[in-house]
Amino acid sequence: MDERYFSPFWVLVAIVVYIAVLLAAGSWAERRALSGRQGAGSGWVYALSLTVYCTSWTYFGSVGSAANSGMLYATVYLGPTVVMLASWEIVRRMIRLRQRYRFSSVVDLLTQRYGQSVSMGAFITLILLLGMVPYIGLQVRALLESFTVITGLRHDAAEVGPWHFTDEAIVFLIGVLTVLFGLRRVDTRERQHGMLMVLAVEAVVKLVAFVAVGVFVTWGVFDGFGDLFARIQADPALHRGLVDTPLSGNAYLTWMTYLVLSMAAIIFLPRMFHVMVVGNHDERHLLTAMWVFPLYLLLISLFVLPIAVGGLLLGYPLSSADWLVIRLPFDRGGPALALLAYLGGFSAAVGMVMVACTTMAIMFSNHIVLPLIDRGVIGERLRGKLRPIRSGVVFLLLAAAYRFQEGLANSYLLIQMGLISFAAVLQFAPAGIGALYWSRGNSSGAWWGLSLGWATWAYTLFLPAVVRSGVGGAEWLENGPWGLAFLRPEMLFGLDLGSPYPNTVFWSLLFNVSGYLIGSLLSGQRSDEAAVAHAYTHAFGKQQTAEGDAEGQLQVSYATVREQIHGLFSRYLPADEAALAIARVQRDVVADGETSLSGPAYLELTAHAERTLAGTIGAAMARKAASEALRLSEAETVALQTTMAEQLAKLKITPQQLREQVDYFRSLQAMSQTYARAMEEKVAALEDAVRERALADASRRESEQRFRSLADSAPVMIWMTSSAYGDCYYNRAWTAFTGASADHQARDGWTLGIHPDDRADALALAEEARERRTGVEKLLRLRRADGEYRHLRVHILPRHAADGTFLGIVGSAVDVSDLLAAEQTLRRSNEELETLIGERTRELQQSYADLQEREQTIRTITDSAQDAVVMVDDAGLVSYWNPAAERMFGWTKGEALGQPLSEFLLPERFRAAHLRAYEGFQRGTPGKILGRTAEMLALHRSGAEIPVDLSLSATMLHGKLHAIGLLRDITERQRAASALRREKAWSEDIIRSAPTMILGLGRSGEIVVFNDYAEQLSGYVRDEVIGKRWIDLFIPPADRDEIAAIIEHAVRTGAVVPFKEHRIVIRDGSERLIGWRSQVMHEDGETKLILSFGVDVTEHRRAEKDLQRNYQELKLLNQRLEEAQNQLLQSEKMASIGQLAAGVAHEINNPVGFVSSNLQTLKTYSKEMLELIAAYQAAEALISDRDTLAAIRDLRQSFDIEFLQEDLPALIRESEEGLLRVRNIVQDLKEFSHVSESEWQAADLNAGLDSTLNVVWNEVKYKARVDKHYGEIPPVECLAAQLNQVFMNLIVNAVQALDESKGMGTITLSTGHQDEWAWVEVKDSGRGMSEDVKRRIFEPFFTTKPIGKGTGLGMSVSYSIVHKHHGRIEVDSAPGHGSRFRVWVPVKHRAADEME
Amino acid sequence: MTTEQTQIITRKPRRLTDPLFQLALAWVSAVLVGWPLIQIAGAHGTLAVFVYVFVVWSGLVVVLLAVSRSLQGSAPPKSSNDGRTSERTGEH
Repeated sequence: MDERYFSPFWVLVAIVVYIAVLLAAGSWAERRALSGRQGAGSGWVYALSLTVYCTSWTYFGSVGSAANSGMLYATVYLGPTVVMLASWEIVRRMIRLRQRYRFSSVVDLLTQRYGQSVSMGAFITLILLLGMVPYIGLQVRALLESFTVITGLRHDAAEVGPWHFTDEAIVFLIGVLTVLFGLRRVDTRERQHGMLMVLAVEAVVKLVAFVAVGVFVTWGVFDGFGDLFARIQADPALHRGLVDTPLSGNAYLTWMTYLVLSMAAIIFLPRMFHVMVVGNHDERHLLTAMWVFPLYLLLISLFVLPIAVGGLLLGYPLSSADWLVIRLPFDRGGPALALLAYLGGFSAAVGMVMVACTTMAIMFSNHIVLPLIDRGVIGERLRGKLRPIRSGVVFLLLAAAYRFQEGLANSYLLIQMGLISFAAVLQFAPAGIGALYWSRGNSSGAWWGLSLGWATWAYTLFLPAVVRSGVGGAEWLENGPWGLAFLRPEMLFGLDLGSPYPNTVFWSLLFNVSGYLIGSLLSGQRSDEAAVAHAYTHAFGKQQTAEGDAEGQLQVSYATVREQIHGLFSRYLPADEAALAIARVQRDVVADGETSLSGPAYLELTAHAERTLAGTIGAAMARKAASEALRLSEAETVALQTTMAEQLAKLKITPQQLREQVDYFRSLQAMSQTYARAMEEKVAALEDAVRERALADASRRESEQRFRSLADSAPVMIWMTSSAYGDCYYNRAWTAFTGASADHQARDGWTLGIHPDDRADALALAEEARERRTGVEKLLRLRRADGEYRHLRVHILPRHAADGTFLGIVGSAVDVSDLLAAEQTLRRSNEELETLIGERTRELQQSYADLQEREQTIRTITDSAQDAVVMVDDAGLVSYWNPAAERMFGWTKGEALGQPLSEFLLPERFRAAHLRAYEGFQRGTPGKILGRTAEMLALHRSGAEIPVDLSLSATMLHGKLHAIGLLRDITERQRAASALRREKAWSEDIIRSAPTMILGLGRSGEIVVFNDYAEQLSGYVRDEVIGKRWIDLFIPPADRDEIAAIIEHAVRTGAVVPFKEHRIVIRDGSERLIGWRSQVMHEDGETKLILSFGVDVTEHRRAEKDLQRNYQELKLLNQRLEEAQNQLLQSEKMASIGQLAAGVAHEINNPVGFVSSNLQTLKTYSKEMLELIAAYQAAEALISDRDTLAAIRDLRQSFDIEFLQEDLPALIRESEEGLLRVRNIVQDLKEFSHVSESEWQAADLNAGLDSTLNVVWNEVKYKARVDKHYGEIPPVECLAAQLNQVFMNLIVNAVQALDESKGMGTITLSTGHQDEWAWVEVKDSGRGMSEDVKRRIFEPFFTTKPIGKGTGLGMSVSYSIVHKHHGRIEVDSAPGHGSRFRVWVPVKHRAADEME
Repeated sequence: MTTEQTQIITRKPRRLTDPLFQLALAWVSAVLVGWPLIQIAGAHGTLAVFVYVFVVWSGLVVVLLAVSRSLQGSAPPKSSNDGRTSERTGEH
């Protein structure tokens, strides 16, 4: 053997150790369950157990699939992931039904729903067996092949010897494991904790192993996903194989087909149903499985493609791709990884085989073996040997699978068996889904659907696979049977979908669904089937149980029934399990100390027993067995029927419930008929016995006496005649019945007591028996001892000697009058009942229609109501829950219905009180709340408490008192009320403590609001004034009419009262002035209240007056201040100008002085020069030289000496005049500014006026002519410079007031004096002033000049200067007539105080 | 209960507990992992299909986890210890 391979011994050791670990884990789980403890993370165990879906076909085969078809393998895992999204709806429904009907397999799901048909169960089981044996074979094949891969045993035949039976040993070990955990209990209701734990452990092992191999290949052999996919791109052949080919043609049809197949498989594969539905212990575990299972599938799928690609890149042939999971770690990794990979595959295969064998064994025993026992084909003693039978089936299945894989190793069928099985279980889908959601589906439809579906599956997929595996000729596959091409299995009716699977899925589903629908629509349902259909489609509804009147007529002995149930259980269960089951049934149904059962209790007990048994032998068989074993006596049956008839008559229930009750009655009727038949069979058996005995008597007369003794002891009338029908023998029963003596009867023949009308029939009956040489039977009337004719079932048996001689007859009769009467009573009861039911049905239908209409109306109202409407039944369970309740409390209708109200809607501290109140309510002592509305606290789903208004009422439904609560969420209302109260309190606080007087007057003027401040202000306390008229108490008499009119107007018009102040008289008699702002309050359109806010303004108004006065004073003071400031400003300005002018004058004065001096010298020199020139002229004649003389004369002529002698003195004279003018100007400037004169000094105003005129002469000379009319003025003590400024302002204003368009104007300057006053007047011929201008001319900054031409301060300053001299300015002006300003100043300066 | 005591209620998304919504989710997921989206992804090669399938798959697992969590609060009470769920736990 190659050293690379593992030793088979050590691999077997590893297997044994691994199985031991599994055994330990399973046993631990079983022990925990037995001790009453739940396994840790039982939800996870459940979820992981679902991974039995991942068999070796997926563990090994998915890599092969990926190598051949790329990502197509993922569909097998994606389908279940999609289904898990709907599992809470679909799978949970199945779990509920399993709990109700005790399913043991997926077959029970269908047979229970579709008429509890035993034949259907057998049919489905056989089909599944057909598909499952190869599938199990595939797993066995994977186990053995992987063993070969890792040990290399088949590579070296010489080494095989000691390990010849290794394969068988492995298979045997799996069988043991299956029996130990899968079949540990006969009752499949018992959770198989051990098996689920084993599956969970296996799930972990195979996931870890597969992911380890994936990681090793992806990152250990290659450089990750990117590297692998890059290599695919770089390898054209690989790319073509993995990408191009799988994506070409109808590849996506195949994709969708696989998806559909896997979606069906996850639910309907028997092993998946077994772990998912039957193995579910707590439906909440489904919530864990819902995401754990898909996550598991994702993780185990993630590395499938990398392993496949890695293997192909490393040169492994495509044909061995299935074993890459082991090959790669074996060849390139370490032995530990290879062994782990092997154990992963081992786990995958073992898990599937365990569950599949378990389910198949259960189905086989329940649906094949037990029916055969019932039919007597198999010995009765096997009935109680279910566990051995199932164990045997497991080993038979394994043996068959082993042989199958041996015979068809590497065959097409074996390789494709996984998908073929998926396609087989897909046929469950229409009937299975229809069972859950379509109540009209029936057994006929299910039969048609399943038969057509599987026939199509077998024809289009299974048989071709068998043929392709080398069994039989393949011609018909290519050409169709009998050469009919359109019947080619894989292209049925010419449809070529590229692959056999889409073809099978399409046609089988088409036929299956069509058959199911048409079959269901064309045939009706049996009554009991309809009841079950209703239960299936309303699986989440509350289970209907037989409710009965405890005081009904029927009382059945519990001991009798218990005995019958014990007998029933003992037939199928081991003694210990039977006792346990009875104890459970008793615990669940029968009250302690109960000795007799009412009708409903009896029915519930028997139904419970039947369901319990269904967990062991399946629903159909359980029904059959129970109907045979659990029987009532005739009288009890009649009593039960009567009771139920009365109850039905009293029923006021929905038609559906009525129908269920009718079904229930019919089942009772069937039961009684079964009982009657059984009685007849017993009579017949007795007759047979009698006949045998009669024959024996004929042949052996010597034992006649013994026969007679026997016959006499029989409870049946027996007689025997001779061949002539005389010489009769009658047994004691006969003579006792007829009252006649045996001798008398013997003489007169047996027909003597027969009713005359029947006597001929009796004789004819005897003749018929003789002729036919066989027993005949007829109903005849026989007179009883009391004279009454009774109906007897008479059986006549001919007696013949050995040689065929007719010896007479042996008759037997049973009084069936009571039975007939019972039957007649029953028939009459039935008829009456039918009539009654018919009437009731019609009434109910009418009532139901009305009720439906009303219910629809009410439902519409309640559904659209904003208030929650909740109804609670007599048990305190919620029976109605409207959408508003869903919104209000957060519980959906589905969640709330059937739940105890107190446990989820009431805060815990109220629950006990609620329960007490509700018990009282149920006892007929409704609490105070009934019919009223009360506030209470309810519990939201989140745990938050909600204040609600509860209006409670009661109603009777189904004879039970129901409470109806109308709940309104008053959170907002309470919040608003609280806010309102708070705001009201705030308002009251504000009103009371407001620092203002708040007064409310009613319509009559009475005081209704009087705050604290009002109390303080008025001196009254609130109680003294409330209700009294405001006017009478507070308003001075003089103001009352006015105030009354205001109040009356506000009350009448509702208009806002304007702000007003008026006086009030306070307690001490003083008056206060109050400023009021009022608002009129309305209610229902009329004035309700005049709310006034009053502020005491007495002091305020007084202060206002003081303030006004102060303001006027301040204003005046400010004006003076402004004037002083302006004056100061102007003085400063003029002082500056004066200083400037004085400075300029001083500077000019010096050059003017020396220019004047030099000019006088120049004048002297020029005079002397002119005299010299004159002398030279005179001496000219003395010059003899003609040239010199000519030159002098030319020179004199060119210089124009004569003109120069005349002009030079004139120039000097004019220069002297110019210098004089400069000197005068300088002098004027000095005089105008009077820089040196800041003190009061006597001044000549005429001179000042002239100097001022000279200063502004340039402004004047081109615009006006100046007329001077100076009078005699004494020297005036004044500030000359400031008065000059006044004069300058007046002259400049006069110039600017002239209208230039009229040419040169005239300015007249006049002076004079009067008494102690001197005056200076400036008059112009300008535009004059309006009165308004004239009134404002002394205001500071007032000007009529354009902007930039004047500051508006000139006249204001002038006024101030004159005012300072205690003088005045007179103004006389009119528009168009010029203006005249006369300045008066006192000649003598007087101090201010002197003036005052 | 006073206004101040009123708590802010955090509601779980109830839509996830709606059976019809779960069926709709199943339908949408079947579309996501079926034709034609797979074909569209397949047009870009195996890597594209591989990435698309496992991204969608992971998303479905997350959705399932969310549905499971939403349903946790609405599941019926746990059954008795004998492995059978009480028949009185029916809803509606």
